Amino acid sequence: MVTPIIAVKGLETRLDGVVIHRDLNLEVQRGETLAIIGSSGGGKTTLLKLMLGLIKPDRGTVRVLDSDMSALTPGKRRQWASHSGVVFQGGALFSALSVFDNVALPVREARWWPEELLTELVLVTLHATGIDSQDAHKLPAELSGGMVKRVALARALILKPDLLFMDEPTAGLDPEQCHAVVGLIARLREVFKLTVVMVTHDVDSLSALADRVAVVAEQRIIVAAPLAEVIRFPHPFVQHFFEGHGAHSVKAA
Amino acid sequence: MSRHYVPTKILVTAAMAPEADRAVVDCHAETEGDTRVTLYGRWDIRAIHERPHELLRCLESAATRATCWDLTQIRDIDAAGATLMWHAWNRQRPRQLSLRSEDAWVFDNLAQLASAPAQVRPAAGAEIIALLGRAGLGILTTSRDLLGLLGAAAIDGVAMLRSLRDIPRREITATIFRSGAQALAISGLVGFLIGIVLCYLSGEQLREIGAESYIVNLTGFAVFRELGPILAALLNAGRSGSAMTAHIGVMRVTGELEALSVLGISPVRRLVVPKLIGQVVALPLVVAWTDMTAIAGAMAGARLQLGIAPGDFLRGIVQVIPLSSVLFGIGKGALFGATIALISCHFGFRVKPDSESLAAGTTRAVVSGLTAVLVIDAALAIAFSHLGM
Repeated sequence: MVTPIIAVKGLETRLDGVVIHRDLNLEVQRGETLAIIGSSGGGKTTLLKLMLGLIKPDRGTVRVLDSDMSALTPGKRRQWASHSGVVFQGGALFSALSVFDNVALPVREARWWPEELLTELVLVTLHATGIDSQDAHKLPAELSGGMVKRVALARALILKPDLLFMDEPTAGLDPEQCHAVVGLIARLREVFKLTVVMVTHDVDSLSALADRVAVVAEQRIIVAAPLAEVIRFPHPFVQHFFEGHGAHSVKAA
Repeated sequence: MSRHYVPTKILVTAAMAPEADRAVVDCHAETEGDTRVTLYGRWDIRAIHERPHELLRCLESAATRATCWDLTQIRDIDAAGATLMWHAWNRQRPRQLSLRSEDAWVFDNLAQLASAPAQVRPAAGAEIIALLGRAGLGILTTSRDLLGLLGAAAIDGVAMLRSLRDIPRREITATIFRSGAQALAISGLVGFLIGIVLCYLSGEQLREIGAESYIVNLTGFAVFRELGPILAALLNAGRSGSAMTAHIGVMRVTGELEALSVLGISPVRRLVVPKLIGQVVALPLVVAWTDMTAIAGAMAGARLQLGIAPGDFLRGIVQVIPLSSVLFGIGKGALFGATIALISCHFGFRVKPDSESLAAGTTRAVVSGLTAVLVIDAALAIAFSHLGM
């Protein structure tokens, strides 16, 4: 049996005394794309933050890439960080740094690469996410929403991670941009041989990308299965979420 | 193909005992003077980051004799590995190159970069004349913008008087509370301590020439004309000036300024005018309070050091210091308050939507505010001494 790349066991989380998760279990296998859906305020983003080690669980364990996320030392954290990339919802680009410097930052921090060879490495990575080298000197404030997502993807991928986390990768984009970004993620996933974990509520990107869909409701994962099975799951939230997206239309998408 | 290897002769090998993952450069001499270079192992940044220079040297030395490159044996390649090869190839694709189809994207991208040389950063390195010119121009535009802001505030202020319901009372009182009430403790403490210090230092000198009673004139004039207004203004520029710049600056960063404009609300009317009025009301009161605490400090100092009774000290102050001097100091407070508000708001509006610009704007606002207060103070002192005040 292959060990999963992410294993969440018996998770319990409270924020300000409110129970967010209770006995939540989830496994992600290497190479698969898992989408996490759930009602807003239901603890999807909190689950993502737990996997990133940004908050600690009250009970249970979160193991990602063979590390216990609540017991990461700063040194281990750096090593861990070079194996995983994160695309935050708003991009979280450093506003004072240019596009180039934003993408170069992980490489410079890791001191992995000679500065004289950095320009091409960064520009090629930007190219791969669809950013022209003419735009490399721009500041994040000068970019459109779609470009911010692309630059954030380039920054997440430049150290060639095994694992990519994305929080609402298509939020705030127009349908055309949405489509382009979903296509880009699908292509990069092949090129970089990524395992992808994404939080989303966009049905189109679910059906285009996700191998499995995990539904967070009632403070736990009520179902984690391929989309076609999840759609038929008898739970009010699931039924409501996919209303108007019957099994046929999703398959066709 | 009739190509066959003569007894294989390895010219360059980066690793003597290659594991499956280790990046390896392997050169084979073939017949007819051809040299075939085959690359093995992983060529992604995780695998090669420990020895990019060594691999680059191997690739470069292989490139001098290679006629044919074989990249089909590579297990994994990314932009980092491809960049190394690209450098060794002198930034162009070798004529004979065998690639796996899934790796083609990275070399295509590199080729596109080479055809359109990118200017990553605009050239730095300004000459000193240009630097001076820019600084001068900066002062001129800042002055012009400040004047424009004052004008806009005046127009909005007058327009507000016409319809009294539009007066942003809540914002004005909030400014008075922050710049006035919340500043009382620190202004009082600083005033009291400076009063004591002033009294002790000058008392020493006065005692030597037997003129102890003049301590009243000296501290009185110094506090009411200069120290009270200046201390209050300096503290105000540091406390409230920076806060006002940060307030408007963050509104720029979060897009709230645009939201105001879209709603048809003038940012000047909603943000600048209340701050200006609030400061003009609050700072004179803080000056009066600082005056009082500084005199109290001086009084305590005079009692302890020179043995002057507090009652005598106060009577002396009332006799010696003309009311006009006290009012002049308090009036300066109003002027300083308006100056600090105007400068802080100006730099707040100039913040660009990034974190660095916010920090720089706040610093600039405080420094400019302090400088402006001191320059105005000096100008007033010179002007009024000519008028005999």
